Amino acid sequence: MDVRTFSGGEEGLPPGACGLLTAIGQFKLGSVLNAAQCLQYRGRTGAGLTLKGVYPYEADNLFHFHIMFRDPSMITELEGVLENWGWRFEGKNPLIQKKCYNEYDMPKMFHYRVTTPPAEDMLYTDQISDPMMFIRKKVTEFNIKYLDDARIFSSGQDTGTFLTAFQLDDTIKVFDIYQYSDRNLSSVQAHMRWPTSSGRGLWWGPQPIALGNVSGTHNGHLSSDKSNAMALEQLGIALHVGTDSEALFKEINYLVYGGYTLQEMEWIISRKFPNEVALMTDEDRERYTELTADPILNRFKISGPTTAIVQIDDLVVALTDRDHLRPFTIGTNDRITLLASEERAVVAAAFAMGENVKIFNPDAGKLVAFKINNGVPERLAYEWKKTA
Amino acid sequence: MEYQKDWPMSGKKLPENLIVQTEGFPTEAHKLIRRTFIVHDESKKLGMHNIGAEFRVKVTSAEEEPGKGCIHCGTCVIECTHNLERPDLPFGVFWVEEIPVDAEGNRVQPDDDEEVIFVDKILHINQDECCNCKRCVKECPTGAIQVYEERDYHSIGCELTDHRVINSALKRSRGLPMVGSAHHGALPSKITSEWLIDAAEILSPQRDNRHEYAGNMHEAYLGKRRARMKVASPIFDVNQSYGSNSHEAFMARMMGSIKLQRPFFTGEGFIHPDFQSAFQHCIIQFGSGGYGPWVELDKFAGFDIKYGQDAKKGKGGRLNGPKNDLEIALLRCVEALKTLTAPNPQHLQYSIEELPMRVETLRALLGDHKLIGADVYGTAWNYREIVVALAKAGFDYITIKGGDGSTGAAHNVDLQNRGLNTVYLAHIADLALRQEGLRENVSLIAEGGIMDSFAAFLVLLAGADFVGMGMRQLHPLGCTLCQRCHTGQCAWGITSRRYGDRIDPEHGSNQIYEMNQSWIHDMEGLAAGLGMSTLADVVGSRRFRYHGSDPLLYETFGKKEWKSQLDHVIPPTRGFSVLKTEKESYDENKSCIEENLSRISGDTLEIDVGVDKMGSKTLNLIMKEASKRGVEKFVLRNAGGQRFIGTGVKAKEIHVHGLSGNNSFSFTRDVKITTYPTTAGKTRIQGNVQVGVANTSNPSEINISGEVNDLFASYAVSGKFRVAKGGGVRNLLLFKGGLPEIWKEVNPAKYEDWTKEEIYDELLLLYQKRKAKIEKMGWDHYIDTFGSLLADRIPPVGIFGLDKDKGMGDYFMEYAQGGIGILLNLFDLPSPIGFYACSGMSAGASYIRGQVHEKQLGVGVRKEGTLIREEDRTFLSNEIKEFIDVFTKIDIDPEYNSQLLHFANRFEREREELLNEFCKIVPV
Repeated sequence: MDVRTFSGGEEGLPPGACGLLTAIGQFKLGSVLNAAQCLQYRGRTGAGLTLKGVYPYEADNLFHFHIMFRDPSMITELEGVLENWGWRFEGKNPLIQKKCYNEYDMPKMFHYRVTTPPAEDMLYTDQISDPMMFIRKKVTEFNIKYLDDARIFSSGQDTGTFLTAFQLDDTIKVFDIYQYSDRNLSSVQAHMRWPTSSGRGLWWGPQPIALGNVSGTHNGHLSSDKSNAMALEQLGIALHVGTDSEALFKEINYLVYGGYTLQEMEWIISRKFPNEVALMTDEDRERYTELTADPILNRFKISGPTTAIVQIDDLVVALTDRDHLRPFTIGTNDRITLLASEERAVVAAAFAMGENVKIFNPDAGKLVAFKINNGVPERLAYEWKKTA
Repeated sequence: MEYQKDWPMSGKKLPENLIVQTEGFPTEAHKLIRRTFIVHDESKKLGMHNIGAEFRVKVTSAEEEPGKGCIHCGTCVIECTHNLERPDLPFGVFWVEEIPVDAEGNRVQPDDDEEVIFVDKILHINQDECCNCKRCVKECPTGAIQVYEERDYHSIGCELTDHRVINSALKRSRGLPMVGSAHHGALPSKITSEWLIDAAEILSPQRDNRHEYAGNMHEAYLGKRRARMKVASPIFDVNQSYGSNSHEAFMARMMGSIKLQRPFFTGEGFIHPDFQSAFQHCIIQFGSGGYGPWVELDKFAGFDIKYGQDAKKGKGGRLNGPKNDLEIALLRCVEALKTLTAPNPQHLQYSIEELPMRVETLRALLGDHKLIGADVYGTAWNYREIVVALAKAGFDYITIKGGDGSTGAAHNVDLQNRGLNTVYLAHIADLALRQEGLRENVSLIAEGGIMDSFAAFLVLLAGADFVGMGMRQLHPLGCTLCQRCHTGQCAWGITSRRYGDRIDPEHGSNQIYEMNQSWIHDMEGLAAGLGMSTLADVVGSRRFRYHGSDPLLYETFGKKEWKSQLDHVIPPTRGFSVLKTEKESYDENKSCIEENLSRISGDTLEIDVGVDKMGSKTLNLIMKEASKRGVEKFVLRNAGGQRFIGTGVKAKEIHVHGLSGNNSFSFTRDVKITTYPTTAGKTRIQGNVQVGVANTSNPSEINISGEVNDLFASYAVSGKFRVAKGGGVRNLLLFKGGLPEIWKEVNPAKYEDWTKEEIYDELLLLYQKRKAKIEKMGWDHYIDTFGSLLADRIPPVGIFGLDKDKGMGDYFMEYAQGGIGILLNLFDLPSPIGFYACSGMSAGASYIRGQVHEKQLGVGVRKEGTLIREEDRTFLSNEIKEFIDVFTKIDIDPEYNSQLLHFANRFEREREELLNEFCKIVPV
C-alpha cells in the first residue's frame, strides 16, 4: 500500500473499516484493544484510537498536537507557519519509531507540546480569548489550508489520537500503544473503518476524528451530509476533515455547548416518526416543533445509517439513527461502560477484563450519554444539559 | 361463448338479445352470414379528457381489398388480449357482434331456432386499447389488419411539451397509474451511435475468424477465483423472474441459455420445481422481496443478490395481486392474490461492511465452488467505491446495470430519468478494480440498453467481461415492445401466464440460440478485425473512440487513447479472510479443528468456543466437517458472538451457550436450535443473538433464551421462532407463508450428472404433462388446483416474551407475507411495540398483548380488538403453552424467570381473561 493512495492521490481509494468500541471508566487498555480486534472483520484497514488521559493535563493553554506531514520537505516550513501564528512549541518527538517506516509506507508524524499565544494576542488576531476556542479555530484553519501537505489529527489537552491507514493491530504496533498502558486513562475510543464515501485515505479517512478535546467515531453514511454541513457552515463552524461523520460530531458538540438537553438533542438529530410526534404530550410536541422548525436545527437532522460515539471532555454521547440501520450495544456496571458496534465486542471486552456487565441495545434513534466522574462512568438522564 | 353485459366503451347498454362472438370461426352452421360490417367504436369521453387512441387499427373489408379483406373469422378477437379498462372481459380491441335475422331480414331472438336464418356480423374495433403489439396483424389469416400511429394522438403540443407530456398530465389528472414497462429504446440512448471501433492495420493485421483462430469468443469463465463456470457465450440473458415471464417464456429462455452454454439468471421469483433438472445451469436471484422457499440452494450454479430496486426508486418492487396467482404464491411461499412489495433496500446489508458478512454466510452455505454475484445499478458519483467494495467482499461477479435498460414495470418518471450509460459504467468499474489490483478477482457483466452485437462488443472493449441482453431475448418469442408487460395481458404469452401456451418453449429456445449465435459471430468478426484472438484480448482494450455530443463521454473517450497501464496500481497485500477458501482456512486452523473433531462422541459434538478464542469460520468448518462424520447434535459452550453459526450444517439439534453472532442460523433447515445464557469466568453472557439471525431459514424450531437484535427471522419461510425477551427493529421482516410440500419433495441432486440432452428431454416431458393438464382443465381450473396445496402449508410463527424495560422495535413484521407474530408482553409494558408495526404486511397476522395505538400501525393494516374467533384463541393458547414449556426449563435471569412463572400461572388460572388482552393486526 503506498502512501500516495492513502493520502488522497487522484485515484486514491482507501481500503478501511467500520467497527466501533469505546470503553470508559476503569479498564485495562490491553483488554479493550484485544476486544476491539474482533470487529476488524467489519472492514479492511484504516484504524484509529483516541486515548483520554494519555497525556497529563498541564495547563489550560497547553495542548498536545499530533501532526502528519505528507512531504518531509514541508515540515520546517509548516512549523514556521504555526509559530508565526504565535504558537510556541514546548517539545517535539517522533510519534513513530523509525523502524516502522521500513515496514509501512507512512507520512512522517510528530508529537508537539504546544502553547497558545497570550490572551491579548489571541484577541488581537482572532478576537478569541479562550485557548480551546482558539485551538479549534486555528487547527481547522491549518488543516483546510494545508490539506495537501499536512494534517493536525490530534490537538487535545490530555487526549491523544493515533491513526493509520492500516488495520487496528498495525495501528497498535506502529504507535506502540501498549506503552501507554500505565497511564491514567479514563476512556479509549477505537475505530476500524471501511469508507462509505470517497474519502481520501490517511488524510481524511480513519477515525476518531479529533479536534481539541472532542473526538468521535461513526459507522455509517449520512445521506443528509450536505444539509448537515450547510447548517454548520451558516453557524460559522468549518469542517476540517470534511466528512459526514465530522459534521455529526460538530453538531453534537454545538448542541451540548448550546445547553440543549439530551432529549432535545435526540429530537433534533434523530428525528421522530410523524406518528410518534402525534402521540407526544402537548408540551413535548410544542417544544419538539419549536426545535425542529428552527431553520438551522432543522438541517441538523441525520438521514442514513449511523452509530456514533462522541467524547466531549468528560462527556460521552452516543446514538443510532432512527431507523436503526446500524447496530449498537452497551454494557455497563459501576466501574466501566463499554459501547460498541456489536454485542460481541462488549462481551469480549468484559470477558477479557473479568467484568460482569449489564448489556442492552438502546432503542432505535435513542441518544445515550455518560459522564466520567472521578474515573467512574455515570449514565445521564434525558433531562441533563450542560450548565456551565 | 356468449357475452351480454354493459359495454362501457360506447357508454351504451347492449341489447338484450345481442350475441357477442368471442371465439373463432365457424359460427353455427345454420347461421348463414347475410352481411358483415366493420365498426370503429367511438371513445367514451369527450372534451379534453378524450385522449383517444394512441394507435389506429385499420381493418380492411372485402370491398376495399377484394380477396384480402376481413372475413369476420374472429381470429383477431381471440388473439388480442389487451383490455386495460375492463380486464375482466374476455376480449380486447376486437369483438364481433352477431345480429340474428329471419328470412325477410327482420331482427329476431337469437335462441329462436325456427326463425333465425341469417346473421349480420359486425366486427367492432375499440382501438383505445391497442398497444401496437401487432399480434393481430401477424395472426390475421387474410392480412386485413394494419396498426399505425394515430396522428391525432401524437401530433399535439410542441417539441418539449409533446403528446407524452400532455397525455401524461391528463392521465395523472384522472388518477391513472403512471407505470410503464419494456421501454428499451423508447428514449434516445448514447450507446447506439457516434462510436467508432478501431481497426487493426499493418502492425497487427486483421484476421479472418471464419478460417483462422481469431476473435474466438466461445471460451471464457464467469468467476475468477475458486468458483468458476465455463461459458461459451459472451452474451448473457438477464434476470427476469418466473411469474413476470410465463412458464413457457421462462422455459424457452432457460433452454436457450443452456444450449448456448451460459448461466441462466432466474430473477427474484425463484423457479418452478419442474425445472429442477436444470438447477445446475441456473443462478438463483435473491431480490429484496426474498421470494422463494430457499431450499436446495447448493444445487444451483450460483447465488445472485439484487441490490436496490432502482427502476422503482423509493417505491419498491411490486407484484400486483392478479399476477400473484395461486401457483406463483405457492412457488414464492407467499399468500396468493395479494399485492407483494419488494422493498427498496436489501435489509440484511445496509452497509458496506455487511457485504463480506453476507458473502461469508453464503460461502458457508454453498462452499467455494458456487458463484456469488451482485447486481448493482450505476450511480452518479460513488460507483468506483461500490464495485471495489463488492470485489473485496468476495463476490465472484458484479452485474453492472446501466440506465438504458428495460424493466417489467416501473414508474414512467423513473424510466425517463434513468442512470448512467453502460459503456461509461463498464469503463469506470474496470478502472476502479484495476487500480486496486482486484480486476482478476472478479468478473464484470454489463447490461442495460445493449441493442445489438456492435453495442455488446463496445461494452466489452470498455471493460466488461460479459454483456447482458434481456429484452432482445424476448423478440424471438414475439415481443414487439408494446410496453404492456405489467398488465399481464401480453398477447404473445411472454409476460402473461394465461396465454403462455402461445409459445413453444423448444422452438423458442432454438430461435434464441440462433439469434445469439448470430450476434456472437458478428462480435467474433469485429474482434478478428482488431487482430485479436480471444475474448480476453477484447475486454478492456478500449479500442474505440467516441465522437458524439455528450460531454461526459467525449471527455472520457473522445480525446485520446487510454494508456495501457494505470499508474500506482495497488496489488492486494493482505489475504482477506473472506477471500480464503475453506481449504486454506482449514489448513490455517488445522490443529484446533482436528482437536475438536477428535471429541466427537457418537452423534454428538461439544465445542468450547472460548468466547473470543475461536473464529467464526473455524467454528463453521468444525461443525460442517463433524456433520459429514455423522454428528447430528452440537453443543457450543462459551459462544462469544461467532457469526453464521449453523449455516451449511446438516444437524438435528444445535445448543448454543452464550452469544450467537450476526447471521447465525441463517439458511438452516429442519433443525432445532436453542440458545442459553452462560457464565464465562466472571462474565455472564446472555443467550442473546445479534443482527440478521435465522434469516431465510426453514428450521423446525429456534428458541432464543434472551434478546434478539434487528432483522431476526427475516425472510424465514417456515418453522417456530421463540424469543424469551424482545428485539430490535424489523423483526420477522418479509416473514413468509410456509414451505409447501412441492418444495419439500424436490431432489435436484439426482440430476447432477445428467447431460444437456437428458435435461432437455426431462424439461419437455414435464412441460407436455403440464400443458396437457391445462388443455384439459382450462387455465382457471388448473390454477385453482393449487389452492389446496397452499392451504396445507403451515405458516411460520414468531413469538416473543418481551423484557422488563424493552418491548419490540419498529417495523415489526414489515412486508410480512403470511407468517404469524405474537408478542406476549410478559412484563405488561404499557406500550409493547414501536412504530410502523406490520407496515406493508400482505398476509398473516400479528397478535399483541397490550396497548397498540392506531398511530403505531404501519400502512395497509388494521387492528382488531378482542379476539372473538375461537380459532384465534385456540391457536394462541397452544403457542403460549409451548412458549412456557420451553422457557420455564431454562434459567434466563431471576427477574425474568419469576415473571414468566407469574405469567404461566395466570395463563393457567385466567386464560380467557388473558387472551382478551390481545389484539390482532391484519392486512386491510
